[in-house]
Amino acid sequence: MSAREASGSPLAPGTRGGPPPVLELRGVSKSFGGVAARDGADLVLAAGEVHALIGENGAGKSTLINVATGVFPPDAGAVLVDGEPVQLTSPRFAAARGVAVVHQERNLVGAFSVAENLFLGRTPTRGGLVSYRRIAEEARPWLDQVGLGLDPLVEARRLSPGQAQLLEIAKALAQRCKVLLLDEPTSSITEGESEHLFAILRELRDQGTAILFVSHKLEEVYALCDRVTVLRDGRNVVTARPLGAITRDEVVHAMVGRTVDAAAAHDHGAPVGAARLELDAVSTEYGHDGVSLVVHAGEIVALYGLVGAGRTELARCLVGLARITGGRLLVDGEPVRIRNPYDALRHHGLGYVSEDRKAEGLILQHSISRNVGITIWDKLRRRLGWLSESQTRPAVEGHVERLRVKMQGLAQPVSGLSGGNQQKVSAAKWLAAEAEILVFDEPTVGIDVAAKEEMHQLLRELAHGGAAILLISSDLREVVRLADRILVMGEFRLLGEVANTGDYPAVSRAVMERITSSVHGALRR
Amino acid sequence: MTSTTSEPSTTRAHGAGPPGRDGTRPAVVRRGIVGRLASGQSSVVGLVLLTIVTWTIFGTVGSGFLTSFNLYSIGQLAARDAVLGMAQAILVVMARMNLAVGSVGAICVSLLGYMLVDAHIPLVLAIVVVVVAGVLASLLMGVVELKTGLSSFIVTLAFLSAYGGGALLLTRNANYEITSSVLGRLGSGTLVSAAICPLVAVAVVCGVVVWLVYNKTAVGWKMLAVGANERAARASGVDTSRVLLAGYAISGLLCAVAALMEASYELNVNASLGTNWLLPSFIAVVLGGVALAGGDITVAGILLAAVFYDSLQSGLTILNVPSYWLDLAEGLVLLAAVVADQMRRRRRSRVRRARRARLALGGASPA
Repeated sequence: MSAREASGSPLAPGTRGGPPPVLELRGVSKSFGGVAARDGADLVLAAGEVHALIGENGAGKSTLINVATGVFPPDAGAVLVDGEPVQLTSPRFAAARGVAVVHQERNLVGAFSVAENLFLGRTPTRGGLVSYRRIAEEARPWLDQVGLGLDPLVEARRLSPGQAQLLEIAKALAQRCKVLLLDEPTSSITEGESEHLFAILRELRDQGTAILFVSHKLEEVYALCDRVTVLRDGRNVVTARPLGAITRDEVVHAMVGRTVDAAAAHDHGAPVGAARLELDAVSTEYGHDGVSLVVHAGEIVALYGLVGAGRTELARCLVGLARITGGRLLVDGEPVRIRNPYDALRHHGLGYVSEDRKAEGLILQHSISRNVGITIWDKLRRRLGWLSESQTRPAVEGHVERLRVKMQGLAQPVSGLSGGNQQKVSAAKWLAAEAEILVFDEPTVGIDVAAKEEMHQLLRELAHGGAAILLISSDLREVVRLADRILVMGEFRLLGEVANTGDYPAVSRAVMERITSSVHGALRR
Repeated sequence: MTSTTSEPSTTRAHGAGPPGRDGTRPAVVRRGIVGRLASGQSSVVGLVLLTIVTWTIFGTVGSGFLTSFNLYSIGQLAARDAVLGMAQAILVVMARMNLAVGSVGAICVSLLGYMLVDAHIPLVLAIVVVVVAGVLASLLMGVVELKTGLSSFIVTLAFLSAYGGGALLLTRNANYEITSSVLGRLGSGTLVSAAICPLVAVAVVCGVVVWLVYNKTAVGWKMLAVGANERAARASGVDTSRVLLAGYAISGLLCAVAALMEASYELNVNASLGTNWLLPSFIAVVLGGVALAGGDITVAGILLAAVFYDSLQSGLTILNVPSYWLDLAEGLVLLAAVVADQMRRRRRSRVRRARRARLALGGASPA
């Protein structure tokens, strides 16, 4: 992998004469459910370039992609294709204008053949019938173009992640796209496959396709891309700068910024107790490998990483929602085997606040009282399993009040609560259960600022009270505010530990460095 | 004590009452009759009305419908169907279904016949063995579901056939003439008035027990939680496997009770008993207002649905409607009940959406 050396002198961004950019986003902003509105972001894509789009989690990259592909309309700003303003009302419409996207999570139908996936929704027919011979024939040139030399009639589920990626690209090409958006295309493929992918992308670029390459891996960005746009907090920090004219350090700096608004409110150096939860070279059914970590009583250990790094999956294995296949899990120094969350809670006081509160954290149509009390019914029940609302109410009430859940009453169904209050209920059940080892998975995603502040307060209080907390978060500011130590995870392995000094830019830089240099680590698998 | 849903328990759809505009208003929101009708309780009110209408129509059109003899036989059949409905509902509540209710019943009645007629085992002991057998037979299905991870539909479908065949094999399709006078008095005697079969009391007792399980015991609450959202229940530390097995066991117990009930008035039984149980069991569940999606039960609804269903059957028979028309009517009733269930659920989610929209307008942030 040779770093791409300067392509001549630095061009001033967006000031080339000649044809207008194929795709341009101007001042695009979008706010989500009352969460701070984003200022406008710009993006300019020219034909025949590979353009890198980078930024931290939540910087607004996904928003830009979703707006560009018509998933949702922007609150403000405009989308221009070939210099003309367009209203992209749906992904289908965006595809018709030549804008195609390949997402991180694959959108292939596993049971369909490669060829069928290629033409999904536009399957060529003969007399109203699907002719497999014909679609196989028509698929061939597209597959060849991305270097996929496999049988077009093989089932898509048999493809490796890298092949699936290439098929997605072929799919976009078959739709005659002139703009190809790639969202972290290398996050789940091997290095060899990455090399192949880059070769294909360069070829497409030389044929005049405009390619947007979203990645966290700076090596890749420098190896492949021509220009770079960096986003932070929904704004441009760097806009369409040729990569020859900006150093790696400058890029990282641009991503992280110098803002010190995340004052370290955490009292570092608080007394830390004995080791409660330990992982010793743990591997799992998801493919985690050699994960070792310790969480002590009274400390918050953050597990930071990008989406897809394997953090939630690790948490699921800890509480027995998935299998640990190797290594040792220790609670209070004793090796244990946790079969399911019942085991985890009953025998080890281990609780998991799920990131997916609607599907896994709460029973939406049931009352607040039921949702909070569910962890303690076994404790409260009398002989023969008798249980009544009047018994659970007092046990539940205190925790709900402590978290200041805004409600009409304990009998109110959780479905009627706001996101923040739902999250509080989801956490309250573990307070009620008096779990002492807690895994919080993205506890503040999608909740408003005030509720977020209260969740932070809660975590601190719990740690102060002696709980051992593993905090999974993609919000680095949150991590810096709360964590005693930060573990960085990538590709289902721990990439290392970063001490939390409370100095956000420094920590952020250290964390980003671990992540961006993890490409080399991929070889080890 | 038949009415079993009037309790303000959380097992019912608490959804439909008008919520306060902001989160600060006190909890209690009184629901008027309209509110009740619109919510899950509509099934109970509606069924009472439906039954009254049916009785009025058949009472005036058909001769002999409102006689104590006919009411007696309606009660006799409805009692069995109510218990069957509950056996089905236990699994429906957990978002599953039990297609093998009839075959478990066949196993039970075959054992009963063998023990009473061939082996001359005392009645009380025989009843205990039958109940235990029903529980075990049903438990086995639960174990298979857990071990294989297959859906309850497939598992109970397989056992529908396996147990049915097994019962026939064991008995070599023998007919058993049950002579126990105790059973006879239970199935064909009278209670209080000449119009009431003692089996009605059995069904009511079962209803009360089931109601208590769902409203007053930890395992009942867990079954509701598993039915409403199994993933969340599991992640919250509910021992879902054990809860599931408990559900299968209770369902099997009720199948055994239904088998004993039918044996008590048929007296001449064989392994083919139970072959026509499936449809009434579902009709009682769906018509009774138990959400097919799980997480919710109305015991009173099930009892009333059984009464309505058997009244309809009896009335049509009195009017000399040919039996194939009866089958047709049965199917249509089931269909109508399912459609009603769906409409109810759609309505409920509309109410929920509207509430969320209000919350959002009020400034609080939705998820």
